[in-house]
Amino acid sequence: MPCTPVSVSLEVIANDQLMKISFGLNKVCNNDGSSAWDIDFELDERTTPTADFALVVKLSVDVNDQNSGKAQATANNGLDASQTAYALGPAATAAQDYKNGVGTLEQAQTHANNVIAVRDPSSPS
Amino acid sequence: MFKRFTGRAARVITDLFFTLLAAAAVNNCFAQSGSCDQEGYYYQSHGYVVRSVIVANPFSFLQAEKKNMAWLKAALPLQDGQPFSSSAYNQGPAIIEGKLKAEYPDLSQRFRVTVVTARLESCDSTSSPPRLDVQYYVLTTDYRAYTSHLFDVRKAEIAEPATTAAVENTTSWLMVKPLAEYNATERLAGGISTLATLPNGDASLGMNFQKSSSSTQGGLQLQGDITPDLTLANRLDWRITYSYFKLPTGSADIGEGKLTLQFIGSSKPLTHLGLVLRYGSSVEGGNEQTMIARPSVALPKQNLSSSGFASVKSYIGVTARTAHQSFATSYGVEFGSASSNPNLDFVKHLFDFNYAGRLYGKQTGDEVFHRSLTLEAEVAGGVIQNLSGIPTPERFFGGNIAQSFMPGDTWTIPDGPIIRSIPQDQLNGSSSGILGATSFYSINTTWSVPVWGRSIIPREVTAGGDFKNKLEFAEGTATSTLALYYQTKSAALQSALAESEKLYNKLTALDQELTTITNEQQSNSALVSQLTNAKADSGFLERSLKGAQAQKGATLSQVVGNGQFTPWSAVLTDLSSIKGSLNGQYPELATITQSLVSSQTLILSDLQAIDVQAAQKQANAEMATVRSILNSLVDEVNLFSISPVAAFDVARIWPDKFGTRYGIGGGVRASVVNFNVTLGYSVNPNPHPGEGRGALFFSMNVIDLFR
Repeated sequence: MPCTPVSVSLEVIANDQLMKISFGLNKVCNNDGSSAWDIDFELDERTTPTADFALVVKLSVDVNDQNSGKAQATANNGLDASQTAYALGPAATAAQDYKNGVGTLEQAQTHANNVIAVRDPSSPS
Repeated sequence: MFKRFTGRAARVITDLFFTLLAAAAVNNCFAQSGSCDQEGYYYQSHGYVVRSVIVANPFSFLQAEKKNMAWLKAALPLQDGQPFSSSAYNQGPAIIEGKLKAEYPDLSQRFRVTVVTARLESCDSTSSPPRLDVQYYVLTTDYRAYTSHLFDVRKAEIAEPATTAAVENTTSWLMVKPLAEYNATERLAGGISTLATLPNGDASLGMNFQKSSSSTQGGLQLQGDITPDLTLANRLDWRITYSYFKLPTGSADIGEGKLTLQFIGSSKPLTHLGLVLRYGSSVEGGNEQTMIARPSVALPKQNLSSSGFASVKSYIGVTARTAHQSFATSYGVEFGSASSNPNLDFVKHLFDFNYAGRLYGKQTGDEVFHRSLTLEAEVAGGVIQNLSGIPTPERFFGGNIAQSFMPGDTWTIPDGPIIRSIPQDQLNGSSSGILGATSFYSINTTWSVPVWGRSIIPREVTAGGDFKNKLEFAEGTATSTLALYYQTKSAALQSALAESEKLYNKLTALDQELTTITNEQQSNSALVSQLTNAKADSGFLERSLKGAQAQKGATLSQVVGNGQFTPWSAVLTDLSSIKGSLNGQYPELATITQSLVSSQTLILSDLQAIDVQAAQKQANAEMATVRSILNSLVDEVNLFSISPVAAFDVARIWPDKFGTRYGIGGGVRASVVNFNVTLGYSVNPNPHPGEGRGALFFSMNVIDLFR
């Protein structure tokens, strides 16, 4: 059966109706028939249940299998709090630096890889 | 929990019609057998040309909806007549999903799922050049995506018990609907309903009128809502209504005209089970009549055939759910006066318990839908304390449709026994010579199993388990992000953020000192290299600190923490190395370093004071809802289905000499996600005079699997 591109999104309004969580899962088919997934995670919030939502954070992650234990644990269980903070913090700054010509691509890639490395040992494996 | 719509046959017919047509369209769409069994890149490398790009959804069989899909098609990178490109084909689903999300940014319910699949069809290698079709199929639980370009629709969206879901946004200020229904008691009835949004948008004015050869119903209402956003008052609805009805009961006609002032509220979820409090009160006043058609039937002693009346009603209810089941229970009480005088003439008590559960729902083998065995059960009861007179319409009348204790509220408490084998209001004790009952109970169970349908997440998406794994990844990531979000609400983090501002300023001094040393130590190339690295790392730390402040401190621990990969650690390592190379020179650098460490220590102290476990617990609780939704969607929910239905009812009223009544029936249910339309016939195995051998029943309800 040939690989089929798929996009799935799920949006949920949180219990207090002040927060909206959105997942987007995109399956891309490679030329060799293999597939890769990437995930968009978005958090929106508002001050009252009738106001418009405003974007708080949007996170895009490529989900390709890795060989290391932390990568596998991440693939199985998702980013933990440390990884999420690193992705939104230093890794994002390094990516912006590269985009702005302040940093190098190598630095940006190093920090992106660190997202896997900073996984908390106590997080689910 | 499920909410029963009664007397809205027009909506039944309309929705059933579209449900079946949509289902047929979907089936037809999927039934097309494609001969494109190669990977996309094969067709690109063999020079295929796109014959046509098709964007379809369940309503694409309608011409207007085809035009609606045209705007999505126009946004795609692959168009008719172009050479096929595998990468452009791949991009399609994400582009369509993004366009839909942008077009409908607000949810009409508490959740929305959108699935876009792509497939290649009708590959023809014999033509020159070879051709194929590209088909994108769009499934979304947001009805507006299907209907907003078709009709001027404003749904009275059913409020989820947990949250009183948001009302659909609409640019229309006036809605007009025809009404039509048939049942054995009222016979064929027709009418009209209108709803107009007032200019300020905070309230709406509605009117409805319906008449048959034997009945009349009408009403005028002004309604609105406010959102105090408090734990016990998440949302409050208010309603001022004038209503009138005259309905046959077989032995007599009962009529009522009344003015009602109503307040209805709901709490926020109070426990991890999503336990939500629902409550409401109303004040009513008007006139009630009873017109006897059969002389053999008498009004009970102290009953009033025509009287003014006034009453105060209140109810309280709770709802909760587990992964596959939901529960709701309610108690209502009415204090009534059978005259214009403020005397307490009767007190009515009502109890209601609802259960809905899916007992089995796994998709097996190659099945394209879930065979969930669904059970809905309702147990209701009531009693009227007759102190000095009860207007007949206030007594209990049973049948396949029951009046609602609090008309207009989505939280329904039956004001009489429900037994689907007896026509509306025909279970009333008249066969015993007394019209209307003073106490009752009823038990209703409905079982259904889909025999045909389509799962909401297409089989081709879930096959192989990859999809489920990625959902788990998303869930884990979302939980972590939420935990960080809740941490940002803590006072300790705010304190850390304030200190990080000081650290940021000190980095400016560090940068100046490093520049000074660099200028003075140009001859020492090794040291200059160390200083250059330190300046670069210090700059990176500055920018990361700025980023942390923009993220409300969520990333601060990974910026100034002692971890191996933090920007802070890189700077500290640089400074330690430089210190060793300077051999005690430049004491100002040591002072600045010490000051930086002091700030970092204070920040870490604040970060350690954050109750991380509480934030994690809050995030887990929030995500429990999401997980439940995801699991239901993947393992249980059908986009549409057709199910045979079995129904069994038991009911009893007092006073009545004939005892317990039964209803045994069957029918068919059409479902779209969690919205059900059920039509069936229930047999009365032991009919008594005036009850008949059975009755048709239908209902529309929403099963709350997504709270």
